[in-house]
Parts: sequence; structure tokens; C-alpha cells
Amino acid sequence: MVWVSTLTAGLREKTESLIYNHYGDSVSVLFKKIPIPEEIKFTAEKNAQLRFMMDKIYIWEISKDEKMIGLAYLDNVKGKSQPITYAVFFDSQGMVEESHIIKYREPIGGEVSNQYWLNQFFGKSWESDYKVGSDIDGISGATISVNAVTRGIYRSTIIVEYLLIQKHE
Amino acid sequence: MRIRLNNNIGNNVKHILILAIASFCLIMGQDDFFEPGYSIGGYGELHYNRAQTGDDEATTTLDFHRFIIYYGYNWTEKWSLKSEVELEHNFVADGEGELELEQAFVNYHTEKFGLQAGVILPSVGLINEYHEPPLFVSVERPEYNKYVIPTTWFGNGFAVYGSMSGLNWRVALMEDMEGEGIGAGIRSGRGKGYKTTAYDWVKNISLNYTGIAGLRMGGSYTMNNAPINNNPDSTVSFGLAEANLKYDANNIYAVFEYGNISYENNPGGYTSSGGYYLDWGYNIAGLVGLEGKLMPWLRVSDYNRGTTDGTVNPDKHYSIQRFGLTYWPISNIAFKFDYGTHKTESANDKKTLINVGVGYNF
Repeated sequence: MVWVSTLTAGLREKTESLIYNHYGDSVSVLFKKIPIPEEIKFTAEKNAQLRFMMDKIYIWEISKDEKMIGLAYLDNVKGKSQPITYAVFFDSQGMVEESHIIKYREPIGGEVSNQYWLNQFFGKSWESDYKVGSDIDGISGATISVNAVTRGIYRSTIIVEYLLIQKHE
Repeated sequence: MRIRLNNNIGNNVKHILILAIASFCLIMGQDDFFEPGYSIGGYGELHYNRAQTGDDEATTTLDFHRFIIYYGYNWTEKWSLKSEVELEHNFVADGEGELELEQAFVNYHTEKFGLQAGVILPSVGLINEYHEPPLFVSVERPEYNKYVIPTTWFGNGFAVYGSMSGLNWRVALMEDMEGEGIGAGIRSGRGKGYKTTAYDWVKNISLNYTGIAGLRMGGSYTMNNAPINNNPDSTVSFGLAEANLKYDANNIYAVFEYGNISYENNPGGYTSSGGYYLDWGYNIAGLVGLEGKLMPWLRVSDYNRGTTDGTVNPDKHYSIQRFGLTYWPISNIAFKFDYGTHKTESANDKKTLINVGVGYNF
């Protein structure tokens, strides 16, 4: 009997393929499904104004030469009616290096998957501003998805900051 | 023998149970995040309108123009229902107000393509499909999107769509328009799904590109031989070609839409109608230290509802100049003010319009 992984193969493969593209083929990755730390969950939800859909998140620790160089985070936000699965790649200091929509399940609003829009999050952290319209450009006809993904990425920065502090302690 | 048989049965049952538990664990271990369920949404808008022609006495209205509830249900990740019910002008009685089933379709959706069947919208212009009030700057929808493109245009039909690298296409087949309603434009030819015909089908093909930050540009062509009084042997033919462009990023807002409808056998005797509008705006919230988005904007528009062999009918030719100020405290709510003039070519006086409104979506 195999107690399988915790993520549908397609989603995991796609995320890991993007991880290797971003961090390079020579990195080693450690995949974990972890409960959202209770100590930071409420703060993350309050600041991002977005509740978690589930009580678990998915993390890849990225290492090179036995040194952690980054962290990949996968989670979901609710779009108009279905979950939007997204991944955020961080450096070892908790700054966003890249973001991706891993799966978009709606007929409209899919423009949030476009890399030109997601590139706006480059360099952001838990200390950054995320107001749609001023800090993050909106997309006409994709308001709900834009708000959801923006809040989701903001929420991820708070969780990742916490995880990195825990790791260093 | 009997005991051995029982043991065998017991072992078999045990194996089946272990297999079942293993399968269960395997299934439960695969997180794909989808969960069947419903979702709701909606939008609405309150309008104050003051209109005055020349020195005539002004008229004012206060109207909760639209209240829309969106309801959707997801059976699976690919199969869902989406619907919108609209109430216009607060209530329906004695021919006043409207209650409409604007959308109600079964949707099959994958990352590459999808299908829709039911009450659908043709992809024509910027506002027909994306008509939530915070998405356009004026209190009322641009007149172009009423008299050139008959927004909101909906009806019974089917559509296929897809997208790749920012390029989105859609082909829709819908109920015929009502030929007897076509005249100064096609707006009154909409069947709105009420006991409509499908002799010729409205054919709507559209293409748009959204691969550059803040930009949406596209166009569509829609045609139909619309039966007059449901008679397929007596029809009004039309072809609506339109192009549209919207840029909304880096504090800049610009919209341009142009459309032309050509007719054969139009009961009003017209051979074409059409026009354009152009919006410019700039977000000054950052300059004045305001949260959200604050945008002064300008609109110029010129359209006609009836041209005969290249000659525009002066009674059906309109010029619009308008400016306004729109404030979005958050992207889902817009407070709007606009002022402008509306001139019919044949009229001596301009109509002056002052509009104030608030709109939302969720």
C-alpha cells in the first residue's frame, strides 16, 4: 500500500517543473504538506483579508550545496466559483521571485495566469503594499480573480516569513 | 473443509478490505482542491439623471437601474452551471421594469477550450460580456453600447471558446433576431430568449488579445438573416463588424470602440448604422494622496442609427461630449459623476445631461 503524496500528480509535476526552471536543475527539493501554523494563521488571514480554503499548505524547500536558497509555496484562493491554485517562489529572505497560476478553472478571468501580470509581485514581501489599482494593476473583466490572487500572494508572504524565522531559530 | 472454506472466505474478505482501505487512502491522499458546490455574486447600480434640452424644463430621475444576482453550481471541475437574473428599475408591473434571465448555461471548461449551452451572451464589444458597473467610467453605459451594440444582448444558444498565449477566440450560435424589430439599429430585434426561432441562427465570431499588461484588444463579426414575424421566407439580413481596445494600467485609462452594421431589407429603409466612442482618463489618486483610484475622464462619441446608401439621416445622427470623475475606493465599488451634451444633428438645441451614480459588483 502506498500512502501517496498529498498533491494530485498533475499539479505537483507542473509546480516542480516550474521550480526547476526557476531555481535550476542542480537544486534539491524537499516537498512537504504542512498544517498552517496556528501562531500566524489569524494574522495572515486578517492582514490579507482572505481566509484559507484549507488547513494545509504545500511547501518545497529548495537547497543547493546543502544550503537553503529558497522556498516554493502552493495554495488556493477562491475565484468567482472555483479554487485558483497558485504557487509563489521565494528567495531565502522571503522575497517573491516568481509567481504562477498552476490551475485556473473558470471560463473568465484567466488573464491572471499571464506572466506579465504576475511579474508585478516580483520583489514583494510581507512588508509590501498590495492594493489593487495602485500597487497592483487590475485586469478589466477579471476583478474577482485579481483581488483573490493578490490577497493570496500577500497571505503567502506572511506565512513564508514565519516559516523562515522558525527555520533560522 | 467447511472451516477451510470459511478461512478462505475470511482471507478473501480481509484482502478486499485491505484493498478497499488502500484505495480509499490513495484517493483521499490526492488533493486536487476542487469541491462541488455553489457560488453567488452580483452587481447593481443606482443612478441620478438630470436632462435638459435648451431652455426646456429639466427632468430628473432617481433609478436603481439594475440589480443582478449571479448563481453558479459546480458539479465537477469541468462541468458547471452559471446564471444571472436581472431586475431593472426595482419592480415589474404594468409594462414597467424588467425581469430577465440574462444568462443560464451549462459550461464545460478545460484549460484549452470550453463549451456553453443555454442562455448565453454573444462576444461583441467590451461591455456586452463584462458589464459590471465598476468596469466602465460613466454612470450610464456608453450610448454606443446601447444603439450600435445592443448591450446587454443575450439569447438561447451554444458557444465554443478557447485561448492560448493571450489570444482568446469564441464562436457562438444563437437564436435568430426578430426581423420586425430591426430598424434604426438592431436593439429592438433582440428576442431575449422568449419563444425565439432558429431558422438561420445568429453567428457570432470573436477574437481578442490580452497578452500585454493592461491591454485588451479585439473584434467580432455577427450576422443573421432575421425572420420577420417568425417567417423564415421573409428576412432582414445584417452583419455587425466591430473592433475594440481598452488599456487600463500605469494610471492610464483609454477605451476605443468602433462598430458598423450593414443591412439588407431593413424595414426602416436603412442600409447601415454605426459609430464610435473614445474615452481617456488618468488615475490621480496617487497625486492627491487618496486611497483607491480617482479618475477624471473625457469621452467623445459619434454614432448614427440609420444611413441610407451612404447618406446619414440627420434625425438619427448623434454627437456626444462628456467628462466625468469616477472614484473607486476599492475595485468593486465605483462612485461616478459625469456631465455632458448630446446633440442630434437635426435638432436646434443640445441636450445637457448630469448623472451621478454608484455601482458595485461582488
